[in-house]
Amino acid sequence: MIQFNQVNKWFGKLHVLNDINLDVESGKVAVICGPSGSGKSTLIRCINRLEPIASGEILVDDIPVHDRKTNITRLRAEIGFVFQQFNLYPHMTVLENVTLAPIKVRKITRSEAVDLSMGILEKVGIHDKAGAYPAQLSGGQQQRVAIARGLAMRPKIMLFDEPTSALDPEMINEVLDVMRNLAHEGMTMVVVTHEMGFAREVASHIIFMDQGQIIEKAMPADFFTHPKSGRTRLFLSKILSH
Amino acid sequence: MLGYYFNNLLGTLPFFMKGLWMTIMVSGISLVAGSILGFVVGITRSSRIPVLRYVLAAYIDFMRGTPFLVQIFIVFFIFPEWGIQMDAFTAAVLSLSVYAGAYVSEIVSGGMDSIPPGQIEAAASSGLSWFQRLRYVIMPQAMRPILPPLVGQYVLLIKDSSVISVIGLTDVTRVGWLTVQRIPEGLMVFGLVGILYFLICYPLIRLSNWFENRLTIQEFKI
Repeated sequence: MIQFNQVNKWFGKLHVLNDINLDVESGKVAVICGPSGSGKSTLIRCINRLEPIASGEILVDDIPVHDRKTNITRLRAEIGFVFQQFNLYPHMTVLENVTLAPIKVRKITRSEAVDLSMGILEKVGIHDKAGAYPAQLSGGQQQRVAIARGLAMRPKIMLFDEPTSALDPEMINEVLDVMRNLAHEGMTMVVVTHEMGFAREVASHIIFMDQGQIIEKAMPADFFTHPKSGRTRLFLSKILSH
Repeated sequence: MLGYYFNNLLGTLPFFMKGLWMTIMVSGISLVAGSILGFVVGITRSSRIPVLRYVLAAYIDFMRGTPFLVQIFIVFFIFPEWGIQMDAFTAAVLSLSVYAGAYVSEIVSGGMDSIPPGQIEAAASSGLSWFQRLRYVIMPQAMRPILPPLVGQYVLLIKDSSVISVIGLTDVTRVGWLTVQRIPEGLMVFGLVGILYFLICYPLIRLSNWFENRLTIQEFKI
């Protein structure tokens, strides 16, 4: 469903994506982890062309994302993206945030969009805040709205770029719960996260990145118990020790 | 004596009203045209189209770096030498619009650039087109920082319009010059000129302040 073929990217002299090859099949959950600056956020941002690539190709549903002939707007409508900083529209209510793209992009009527969105808001447990503005919500609530906003487009893929990193600790679980449910429903997901508990439980496979390279790709059980690479072991010892 | 001059001045009031009408017409048309031009240029500049960007930057720098008096001279006296002839009214409106457009575009692109990139990325990610992002996500947020300085710019434009008297248009300022030749009481005559400008500008100054206050109050609420 998502395919990276020999993808390279530089930020100036920094080789931020170094010969990336990766395959995420439909219905799978790929968790990407690694130290900061390893290129994991850049990698996920290339999937819907928020970042350009220098060489190689990325296919989503066999469509070359970075081909100039590809209608990127249409493709992005099929890919939900959840940001670390939520990026909700501050001038719109929760409901307006969620209904905007379905109405304007999918061209469904307002009442259809409201029905659809209220259903999704209920699923993420925040329908009672439909009339509130983002600034009136906690971080965890805002992030759940952001997930609902992505889901309202009925995407084939959901991408999460460190969705819990900006949250207070007590709000992390309410967001992870929503993501767990999504995974169990069979959504294809790519998740950049440091939440190893979530990764162990939900991931189909875990991808460890360092210095722009994929160092290791493994099933969760193997990844945590028998990491092959020394760098992976070092990373795990740092983040699992407490 | 003063009373005699004052009565004379009252007699010239219809003349002043005609001048005021000219000032309002020229400023009003330029305000609308300059705003349209300024928004188009400002939005284009913020969307960072390579070559166009430098062309527009040159336009803005030129307009901001030269006196309006020189610009209107060029349009009215030099353009005809190149075969571009127009009457004084058209020349005034054209030069004032293009002049105001440069300043408006700076205000507009400044307001747009204040929107966090994450907003644009979120809108793009959900499949909104460039125009939809602009229409529903960027502009509604950008208008808040844009409105107070924009209305402030309108005030400047109305005051700058006094320069059009040099190409023979009978606006309030020129009515003042003509009147003071018959009623040699400069303070009284130009006092009236000043009051007339103030009457148009003051509501706009209040409007600008109101936008500014509304902005801060809303930020507090958040």
